[in-house]
Amino acid sequence: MTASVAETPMAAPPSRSRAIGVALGSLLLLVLPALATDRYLETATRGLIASLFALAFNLLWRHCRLLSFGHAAYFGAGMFATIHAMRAAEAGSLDLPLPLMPLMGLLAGAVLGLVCGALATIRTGTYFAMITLAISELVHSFGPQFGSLFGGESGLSAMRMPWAGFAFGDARQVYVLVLAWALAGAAALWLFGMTPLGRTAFAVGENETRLRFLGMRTHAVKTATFCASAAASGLAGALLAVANENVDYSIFGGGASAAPVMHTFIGGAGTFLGPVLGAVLLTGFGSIVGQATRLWLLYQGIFFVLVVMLAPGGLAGLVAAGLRRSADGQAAKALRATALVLAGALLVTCAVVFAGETLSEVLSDAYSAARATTGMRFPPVERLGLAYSPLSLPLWAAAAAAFLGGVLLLRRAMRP
Amino acid sequence: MTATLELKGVVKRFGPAEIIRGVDLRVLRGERHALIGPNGAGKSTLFHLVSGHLRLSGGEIRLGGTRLDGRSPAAIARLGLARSFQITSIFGGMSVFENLRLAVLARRRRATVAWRLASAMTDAAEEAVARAEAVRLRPRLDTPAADLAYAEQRALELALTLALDPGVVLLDEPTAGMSAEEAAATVDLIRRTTEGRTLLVVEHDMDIVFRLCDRISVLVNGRVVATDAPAAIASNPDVRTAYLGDAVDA
Ligand SMILES: Nc1ncnc2c1ncn2[C@@H]1O[C@H](COP(=O)(O)OP(=O)(O)OP(=O)(O)O)[C@@H](O)[C@H]1O
Ligand SMILES: [Mg+2]
Repeated sequence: MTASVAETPMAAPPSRSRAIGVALGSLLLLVLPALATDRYLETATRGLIASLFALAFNLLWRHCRLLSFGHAAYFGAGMFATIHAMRAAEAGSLDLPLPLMPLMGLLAGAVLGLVCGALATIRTGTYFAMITLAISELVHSFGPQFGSLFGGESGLSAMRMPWAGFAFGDARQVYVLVLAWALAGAAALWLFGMTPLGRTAFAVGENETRLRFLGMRTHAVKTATFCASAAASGLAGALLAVANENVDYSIFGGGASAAPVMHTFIGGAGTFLGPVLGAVLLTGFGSIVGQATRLWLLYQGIFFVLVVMLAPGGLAGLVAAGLRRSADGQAAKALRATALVLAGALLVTCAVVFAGETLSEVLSDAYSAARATTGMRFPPVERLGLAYSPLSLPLWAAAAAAFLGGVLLLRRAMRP
Repeated sequence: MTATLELKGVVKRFGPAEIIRGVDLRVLRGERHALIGPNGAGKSTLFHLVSGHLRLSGGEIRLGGTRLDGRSPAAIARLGLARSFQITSIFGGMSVFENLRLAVLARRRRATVAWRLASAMTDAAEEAVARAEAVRLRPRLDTPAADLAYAEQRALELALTLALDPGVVLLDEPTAGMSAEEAAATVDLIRRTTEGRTLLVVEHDMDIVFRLCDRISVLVNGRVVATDAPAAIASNPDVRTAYLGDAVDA
């Protein structure tokens, strides 16, 4: 009777729709190799890795309320450890089959995470975030220094060695290997949250002071959680090393640390699978939109800002709220909110894309050249399949109206 | 009688303000000891000093033979001294059940186990439920602590402290904000659960103090002005002028 008492209620969707969602997602992951082309499989592989990384990052935030801005250090440590192990295997000095190589990344992340975590978790809040950032910047600055460790500008490469009849030569086999490890890693992170240590780590985020007066050494709890998070990050890095067969020290840069933060807060930090939603969405976005426009990082940034400002629970929070509403018999309300979100998002997207593309065209070298040849100060812009004056007042007014209207619709939809 | 908890010349300054000004206090083993005094006398500050929340500016504190001052709150709790907070301090996002199971696991030194699921620890779960029952929170087991009514939160605060099975219990205004009936039930609970333990309690309700406690210390302006049995305190003229006023006559 007592064992069935619910765990802490969090911003989770109703359990049945969650189960359906997880089942559908797993099915998709399993049949993907049969359906997708190599390019999409490679994108999916990167999506899996980004998902695991974001889940690892969010372990620390969701439980201990510790925001790390330097998780690239542990991701990168996992990558380099794995590349070195793969090189050793290639040279014949290490007898570790490729499917087990990610363990090296896991280990490297755990060891570095233990040391850095013990240091960083002495502080909380902003100071913690700054320490993690400083640590990753420190590691980044070592990059160019130790050639044999980091491989300098060109980085280090290694080959996937065949094992037990698998050549690991094509995207399919790599995908399956990454999928297996990513699922194992995600399951381990999920289970962590249900162990006494995981529950205690959650209590740290809730009320660390009180926990001390229950006799808990909270610094040790935070260090252990940090270590687990870093280990899973190292595992994710290891998977990228296996998939890319190459790594250079730029992985320790700020961009790699920012990725799991964005994925987590766009997807939703309050639910376990929220970060996965964000990681899959942004990886897919980068892969598809990145082909169409150079501005995709800008669009991603604007998207991030809008989500954080309008939907603090992230996309998963929105979905969960909608599902809970329909479960409460307020399906019409949920439907209306969904329609509002979609309409608002469409308007904002149109406005932002128009402004972004027009400005980037006007500021391009090609446009300067067109200026010189036509002799006009503002010759027509040819973008988005249209030719229009960049000073067209009606167009800009429409864009501004669309943006404002869209934001208003979104705010409307978010209201409870 | 031997003193379990002993304070000698304890001083606490916040910048230039001396809030605790040389407190000597002996809490005897197994007694229920009240600490009373007007608002701002320094009662909570004294609790913070004993429990390791604040560092002493001077003096020393012993539990049995062990020096407490300079130790961390966690270390002091592990030595068997548990405290509650005047300003409710619970785990708001966790259910009542999880709050109590956490305290039970902490006492059993099982709260950092990483190789078993918490739900598999059924004995801890059963104890958590029993402890909720004891403070009449059984019907609220699944409620997030933040959603409890104020008096319920006070009850959880108390239950968290008692779940540590401490040899020495410090309770800071355990019945504040409760209805008369809730307060009476709480006093009963305190009496039952502190049987054979040492209790130091801050309480403004004089009826409760006189009913519950064996001895009383009066703290005024950061100094203990009297320590005695309730009857003697009630008739102590210094105490009457300094603090009790008409409360005793009522
Ligand atoms: N951190 C602090 N910094 C400065 N002054 C403080 C601090 N904490 C407490 N004080 C002051 O110390 C004095 C004693 O406070 P304390 O909370 O110990 O009183 P108390 O006896 O518990 O009162 P009450 O009955 O109202 O709970 C008060 O004047 C308070 O303003
Ligand atoms: Mg007080």
